[in-house]
Amino acid sequence: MISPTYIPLILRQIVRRPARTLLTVGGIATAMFLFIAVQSMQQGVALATQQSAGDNTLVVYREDRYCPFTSKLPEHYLPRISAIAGVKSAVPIKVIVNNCRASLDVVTFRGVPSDSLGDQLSASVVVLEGSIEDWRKRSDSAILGETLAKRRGLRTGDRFDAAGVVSYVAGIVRSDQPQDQNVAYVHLDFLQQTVDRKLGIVTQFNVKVDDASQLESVAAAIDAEFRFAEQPTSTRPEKAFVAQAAADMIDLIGFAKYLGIGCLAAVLALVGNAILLSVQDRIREHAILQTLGYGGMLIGRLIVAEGLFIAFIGGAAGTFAALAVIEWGQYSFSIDGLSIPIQASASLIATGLLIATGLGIAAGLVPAWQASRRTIADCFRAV
Amino acid sequence: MNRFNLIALSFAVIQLAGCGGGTPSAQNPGNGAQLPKTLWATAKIEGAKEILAVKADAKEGDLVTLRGVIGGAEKPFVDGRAVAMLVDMSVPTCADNGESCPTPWDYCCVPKDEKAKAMATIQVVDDAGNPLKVSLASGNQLKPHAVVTVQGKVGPRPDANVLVINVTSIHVDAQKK
Amino acid sequence: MRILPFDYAIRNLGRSPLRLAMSVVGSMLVVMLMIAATAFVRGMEKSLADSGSDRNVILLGAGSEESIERSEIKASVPTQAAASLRGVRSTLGQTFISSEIHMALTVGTTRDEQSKAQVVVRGVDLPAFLVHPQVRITQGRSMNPGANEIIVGKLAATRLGMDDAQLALGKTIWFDDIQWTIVGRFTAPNTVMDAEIWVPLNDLKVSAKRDTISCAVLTLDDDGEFEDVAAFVASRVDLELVAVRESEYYAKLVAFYRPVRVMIWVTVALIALGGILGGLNTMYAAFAARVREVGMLQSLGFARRAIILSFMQEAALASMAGALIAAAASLVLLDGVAIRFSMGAFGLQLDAIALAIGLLTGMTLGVIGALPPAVRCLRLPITEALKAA
Repeated sequence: MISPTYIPLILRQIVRRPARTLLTVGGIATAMFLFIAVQSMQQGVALATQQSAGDNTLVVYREDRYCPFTSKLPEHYLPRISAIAGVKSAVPIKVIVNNCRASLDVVTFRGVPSDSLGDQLSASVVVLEGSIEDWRKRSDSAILGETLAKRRGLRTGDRFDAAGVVSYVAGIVRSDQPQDQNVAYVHLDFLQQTVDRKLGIVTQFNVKVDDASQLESVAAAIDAEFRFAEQPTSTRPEKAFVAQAAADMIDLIGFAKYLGIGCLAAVLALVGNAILLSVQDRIREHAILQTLGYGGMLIGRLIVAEGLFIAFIGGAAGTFAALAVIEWGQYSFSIDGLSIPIQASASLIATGLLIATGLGIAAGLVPAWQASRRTIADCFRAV
Repeated sequence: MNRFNLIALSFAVIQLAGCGGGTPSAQNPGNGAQLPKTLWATAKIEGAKEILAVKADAKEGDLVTLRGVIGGAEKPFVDGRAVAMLVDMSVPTCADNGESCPTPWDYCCVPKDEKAKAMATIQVVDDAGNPLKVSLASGNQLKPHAVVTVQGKVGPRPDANVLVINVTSIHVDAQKK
Repeated sequence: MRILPFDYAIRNLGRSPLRLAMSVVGSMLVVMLMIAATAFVRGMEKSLADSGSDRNVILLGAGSEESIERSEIKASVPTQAAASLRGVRSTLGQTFISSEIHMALTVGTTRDEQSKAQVVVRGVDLPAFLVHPQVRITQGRSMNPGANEIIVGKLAATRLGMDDAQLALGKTIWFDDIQWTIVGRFTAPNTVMDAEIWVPLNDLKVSAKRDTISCAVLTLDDDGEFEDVAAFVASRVDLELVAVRESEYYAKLVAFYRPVRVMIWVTVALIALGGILGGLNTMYAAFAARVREVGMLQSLGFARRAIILSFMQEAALASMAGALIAAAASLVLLDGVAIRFSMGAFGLQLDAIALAIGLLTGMTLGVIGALPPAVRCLRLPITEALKAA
């Protein structure tokens, strides 16, 4: 496209007017920061709600309920669920949240039977501090997801008091499952005794099926089993359950998509504006370059490259700033005891840089075309 | 200073003085209520029983002598009223379990229903039987986690877990850390 | 100091219609966003703050102080409280103590509807209308117990994502496998109750199969003091209650939403920053083209400050024009628009403060947008300026 020998020339053009270049880069960085932030929210939604081929988890919940306080299923449903064809394993879980409403700092407890924690956590979980054996030793111990621990500044050995439950941090884990990152796992009977003052009631059952293609049929079978029971159930794939329970928040985040598009338009406008202004300033120079033998097309390519550089620098600054804030903040939306993480993946970073660069090129095209078509005489006359 | 400024200043001063009112604080009760000086016993009170023992058979109107620890919640004193909560000596705190707990008197390690069984409430009442409008913590005689012996009459017992003592005498035996 | 005539600034605006249009549109977008964000945040705060009264006290289950929906207390608590507490308001023999159940349920227009939304259903008795005087029935009547009747708040339709007509008098909705008839509509402006459905307490207990209630709300009379309620709670450890002033409970909810508010403000600030940076760039270029003109004005005797003032007038005019258009558009399009948010709904509050903030933003954009470029432009000595291309 353009020979590397011209790069010093392009860079010098960019820093010729440092204040204006900085303003343009600053504007692009701001817009890309917002764009990456919005996209990482969208990615979080996708991660939490879109089913992938290998997903084999069903959530059995009380029918017509989403808020964990309102779903009270008898624990004695467990053997009946386990007996249904296609069910590989079923874990009763009690969920306690300090608030069912949606916000960024909600504490969620999940009580699981002591020997089921291994089943519940994903196979690729990494223990960062403490251990699961320590968790098994005490009745009031908790294993925290990394996001929750960082947000609340908790380490192994601390006491953790929230939602009327006081527990002891026995370990901190990192998981690729968004629901595990923002949760404190405690013993089921401990949670039942603390909150209900009796055993026997859980919020949901997490069911793993033998074959992922049978999710719908097993779900229907479970619901049929309890249709006329005192607490009828509604069984859905885990991701679908999150999508419905968090529908409000997902709508709002979806609306933010327009903000993302607006940011990209702003990047285009900023780069376009900057290039336009700088080309107007340099009409005479371009004429001189043409008399020296630089072809019109080369001048056009130089202008496009300029746009590319500015956009790339601004895009990189904004993208990495967004990444730093997201990593440091460990933000996560919680609603009804479910988490929608805000995460910036490597592919998102790459996409951001690519889009910024592409916009830089696009913004430079029209001024480049015009500049390349201008004859030498027109240039001198224009001044 | 001209007359207008003087009047304005006077209004301002009156307003500021008036603003100092509002809800009486625990330390300076607006209605002048104070804990009776005879409340604080200088000598140890003999014959104290544990809360669990008293709860088992006390009836309304009985005169009892009780020992316990001020605690049971992060704030065991009621603001603006002479009411406080006591916990039986036998209940262990998180500090007793070897943990470093900033507020061991809240007994947060103990399940709530077990805690309720081992608790009692003490209050200092006026002639009408209503708690005095001053906190038991005022005057700094009582602090959370203090071991106290109290003497007084048992109030109504609508439930076996409820034990309210209208105390006439309190002795601070020790102050736990 | 002689200042430049105001119409000099106006005429300069017309020099480049494209640039003027860009400034006005840019400013309009940023100001509209600022007004919308302020209206959203103020609407959210107001609906929570106005929901709580200073004279009301809520008795909740211990450990549930943050969320009434998860609280459970014995159904006998209100009776026991009424018997033991002094200072509770009463009128014509009716004590102002309301037993309530608050549940977040999904409702639908038919029994088997799949896409149902969540709404707060409140089970109440007659005292609820005394304890919550903000609630007024605007159509129909109050519900009768035992007849599957309900009344719905004005924003309940918004909350459910339904048409208002679907919740008109006489229509039915389903929850808990029971069909309920709407016999009344109520309003409780700027409170969370506006987006609720109210059901007779016992009917809800039966349909939800619960024997506990969520809370008891009582109103103190003129002599009543919160401390007496706190003393009652301390003496009845068997009931495991906690007493919270209603205003404090809702203040805590406002604090609970603080991260969301901060996020909105940060977003708006970033957008404004982007707008300023973009605008500054344009202004730099615009003023750079007028260096010779500025030199000439200085040689005519106008001081630098006068010229800067004129530039700022120009920029402020453009941005305020955008701001005014944004304010007018917001008033027409946004005022009172109901937003669904997290178990409730509220109306955007486009009040004087929101508009003032928007207009102030417009003014600031204009001033900040013009100042650095103007100062830069005037750096050159007059002779250099006159020689500039």
